[in-house]
Amino acid sequence: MNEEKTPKELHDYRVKLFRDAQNFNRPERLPLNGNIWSWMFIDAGYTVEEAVKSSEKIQKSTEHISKTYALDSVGGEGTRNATMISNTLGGSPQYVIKGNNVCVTDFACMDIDDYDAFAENYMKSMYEIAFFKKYPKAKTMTAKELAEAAKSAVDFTNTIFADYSILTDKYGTAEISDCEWYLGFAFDELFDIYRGIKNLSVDIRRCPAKVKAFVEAVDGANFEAPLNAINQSFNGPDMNRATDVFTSFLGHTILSSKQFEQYYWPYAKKLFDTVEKKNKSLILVAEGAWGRFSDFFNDYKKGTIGIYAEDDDIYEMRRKCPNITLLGGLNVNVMGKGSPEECVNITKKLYNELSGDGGLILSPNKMVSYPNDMKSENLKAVADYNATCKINY
Amino acid sequence: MADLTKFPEGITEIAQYMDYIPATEGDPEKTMNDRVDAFLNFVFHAVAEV
Repeated sequence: MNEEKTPKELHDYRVKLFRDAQNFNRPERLPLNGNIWSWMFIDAGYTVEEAVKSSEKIQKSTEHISKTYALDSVGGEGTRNATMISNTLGGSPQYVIKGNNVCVTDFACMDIDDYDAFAENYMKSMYEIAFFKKYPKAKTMTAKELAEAAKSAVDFTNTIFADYSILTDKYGTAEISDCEWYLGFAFDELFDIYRGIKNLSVDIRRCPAKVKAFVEAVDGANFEAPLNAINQSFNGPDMNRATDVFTSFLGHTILSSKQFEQYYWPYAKKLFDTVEKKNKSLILVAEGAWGRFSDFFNDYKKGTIGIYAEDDDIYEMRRKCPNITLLGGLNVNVMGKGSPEECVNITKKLYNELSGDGGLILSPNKMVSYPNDMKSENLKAVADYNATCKINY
Repeated sequence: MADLTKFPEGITEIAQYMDYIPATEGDPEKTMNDRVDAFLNFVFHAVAEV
């Protein structure tokens, strides 16, 4: 089994599992993505508060997860919550982390009157408006102090690369987020970074044209180079990686289908069309429920799009979207509160009813972040069971 | 001295101190661009906290 393979052989085997699953090409077994985020620190014996301040503790946690559980992809490289950066600027006004409690406030670092400025010059506005509004201490810092603070972003990036190196080179995982292209949507920047959930919910009613102008300007700038690069890349998947493109929807949770069509779909369609045309694959983290938008995705050929089924029923989504690869099935309510037997039973049910010719990647349905999201013995039971499975076609 | 809160002159001033980003020998313009890009990357990470 896995013990007989070198890390490189294991990595290549796992990449093939992910690719076969995503392409509906009869994988030998279901690939298992841990979707493990801040929970890795707790399971490694740290508090989230102490771990996020230390590259060393983050990397020890990453290593602990890789050693302890037979995951094909850990799913999170340990660097969620970039507090190493915000601490250099006087601390985050948005994230409050005490012990294992992570509180995210609905913070706005852009006013409703700033839309025009952002649409006109995004970089200038990000710096002159958002940066200093979020971190007023930065206004009192010297050029040398700000330059030294900026080193924290370099260290943070190095931590991410070191974590990927631990996961892939040493333990042979095929990380689904370690792909060639990561793209984020402008509407999510408004939702998650600049305006917050409450303000943006009002803005799409009070000034929808300004929201639309922001989205067009920012998506237009952010997508141009990656879309060109995908278009110019070789045809077909990169078999050194579990997927080719990684992206997310966050703010769709406050939108109707008509609004989704306005704010996400123009560039989502460009991205999905490009991925399909180049015979590549994309994984989309769509937080919450996205089933009401499923008609947008139903014409893409199998193998193009994989989407997490967080709050949607995965069995119902399989019926509604036969062409979409689904990630999920391991409900964190069961994984966090049930017994190992119950967790193995939900895994068996997924094998029996959804494995088909592929199109399913086993995963906790939500980002595993808090103590009650997962029990160690449940993850171990599911991972050990899954590692021995073989699908008979 | 530049107003550090202004774009791009403030960032250009800050970039002078970012010698941990390696210089490209014989190409001061590229060196400066690399350092400005690194600072903007920091600003984005700080604002987005991801």
